[in-house]
Amino acid sequence: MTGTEETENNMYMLYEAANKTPVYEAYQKLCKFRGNFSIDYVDFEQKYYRFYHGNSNLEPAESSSSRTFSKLPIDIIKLIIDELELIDKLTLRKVSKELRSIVDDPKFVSSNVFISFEANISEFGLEENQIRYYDENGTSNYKITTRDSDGYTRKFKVKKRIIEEEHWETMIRDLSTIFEIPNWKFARIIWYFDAGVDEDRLTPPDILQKRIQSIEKMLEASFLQVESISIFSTEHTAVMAILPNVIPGSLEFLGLNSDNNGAKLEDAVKLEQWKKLKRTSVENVSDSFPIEHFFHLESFSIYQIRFSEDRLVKIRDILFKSAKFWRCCLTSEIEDQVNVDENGEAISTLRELINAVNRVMGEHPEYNADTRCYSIPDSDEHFFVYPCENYHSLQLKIRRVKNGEEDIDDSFEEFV
Amino acid sequence: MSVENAPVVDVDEAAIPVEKKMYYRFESNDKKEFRVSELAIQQSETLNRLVEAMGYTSEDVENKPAIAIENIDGKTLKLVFQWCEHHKGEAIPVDDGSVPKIVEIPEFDAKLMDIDNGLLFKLIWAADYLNIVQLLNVSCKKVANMAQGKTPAQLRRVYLLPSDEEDEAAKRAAQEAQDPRAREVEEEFEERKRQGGNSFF
Repeated sequence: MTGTEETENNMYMLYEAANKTPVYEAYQKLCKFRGNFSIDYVDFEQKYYRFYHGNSNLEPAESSSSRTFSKLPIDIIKLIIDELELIDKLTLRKVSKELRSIVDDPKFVSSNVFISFEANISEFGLEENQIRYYDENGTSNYKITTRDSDGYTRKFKVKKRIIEEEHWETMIRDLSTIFEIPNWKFARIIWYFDAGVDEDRLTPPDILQKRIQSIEKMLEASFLQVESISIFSTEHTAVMAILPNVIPGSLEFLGLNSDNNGAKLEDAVKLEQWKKLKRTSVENVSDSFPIEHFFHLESFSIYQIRFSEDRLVKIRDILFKSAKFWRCCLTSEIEDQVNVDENGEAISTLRELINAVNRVMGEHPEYNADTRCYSIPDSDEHFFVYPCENYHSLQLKIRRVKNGEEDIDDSFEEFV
Repeated sequence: MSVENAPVVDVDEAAIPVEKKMYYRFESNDKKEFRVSELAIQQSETLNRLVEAMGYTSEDVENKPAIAIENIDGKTLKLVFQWCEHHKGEAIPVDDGSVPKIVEIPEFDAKLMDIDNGLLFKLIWAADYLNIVQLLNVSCKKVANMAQGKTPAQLRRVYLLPSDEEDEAAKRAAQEAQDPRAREVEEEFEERKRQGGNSFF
């Protein structure tokens, strides 16, 4: 075929593709016009569909002798990338700008990410991928766990890590890559620092602080946009390394899940991120901590708090001022100390709590001790105040409800 | 090269028309000829549509020239047709996103793809060109497996990937070398598209 003839054929294909003529009909028409069938149909069809899909690039098809990875069509490269394991995707995106843009292109929303640090193991999970970084017998390894084809059982393989560095350093580097990908969003991130680890197997304090500093550095470089964060850490600095580096307003829920919260709540509540939270779940609140710091939230739960009279007064006085507050559940372990009434009879701790609540709330004219309802003036709503006992704990549940819809038992399910 | 002189490769002994099975003849760009069974051709959406449209009889197959596949060489085409013969009659997977795509490489495919990287990329390209869905899946999986545990530098070597600098230099060179005639056609096409022209002939 001469150059001119090929150009004419290309022109013809462009027009037929633009007019959406069926491909074989277009091919036959061209062959009829040329008076022979010497035109390669496969080549014709490929060009035709390229034009059909709006790509008018007429670069001649490359010789099959020059095929390399980067010369594969973009759709094929995407197919290959889809087949890569997460850890290899992270490596591939470091190869070139073009590959980075292809790897990063698909929008990806992960519902759950967990990140765990222990003395000898670092691990994170992202959807079906779970990667453990550890050292064993002098070699560094990955253990990569993925879901099997049935979607339920898991299979794993162990691979040697080539980069020689501490397991937690490698993981933080991989996490920093993941957090920097603009199209990847995360709904919930759970951080574990030596969670559930025996005392004698805890990470040495100096190493723990190094990790926390690395995490802080990573997050400072790529602020986290995430709706929910839970942190299991007894180390205050861990919370203060993470929380200030979350985009304020994106974070709706914060869970502080260690006995000492892993945080000085006094520091955390000063942060914009705390002020813009909607929900929280906190393990422990000290006697001196002002409870008012929770009432800008829609809902919260505290797993250990003492119900002092002074605290009940503060709750009573702030309820009406809390426009967004919807519900809370405060829990207190039952103490062994037993009080007695004026007749020398033991008073149950629940009775004591009910008496205290009625006494304190009853000082407000809108509180009805019989119904435990605390009417909200100029509204068809009220706060239902419900002291109860749950295993070896006392609970005080408060919920904003529509008048006539008191059903407190169904109202305090999990917050998250 | 005449049909008589062309080296003919039977990719599947069973496809030889002892049992009067229908087969077709294809010719690679380096004039290697292949006889492929009708059932095997069904694995390729493109070739299947083509032979259906041609409506050849057994006599036509013998008397007319082999169907030319100009963009694929004989070495690659042989692998393609060997794969098609081995998997003939198997259902063609449909990826509609309803179930997660899990690709496993069967032993036969693994042996078939035990080839150098250059040939493997040609095989992928051919599978795409001829629209052979499962061959494309397994060959892409094979390439993905090659990346396992590699560093960025090793990946560059394995995949023969250029660095950003090399890539930009290549793009510049390609722009400069672009065929002026092709540019002219593209411009003409865009202009006609704007005007909403009729059929070319």
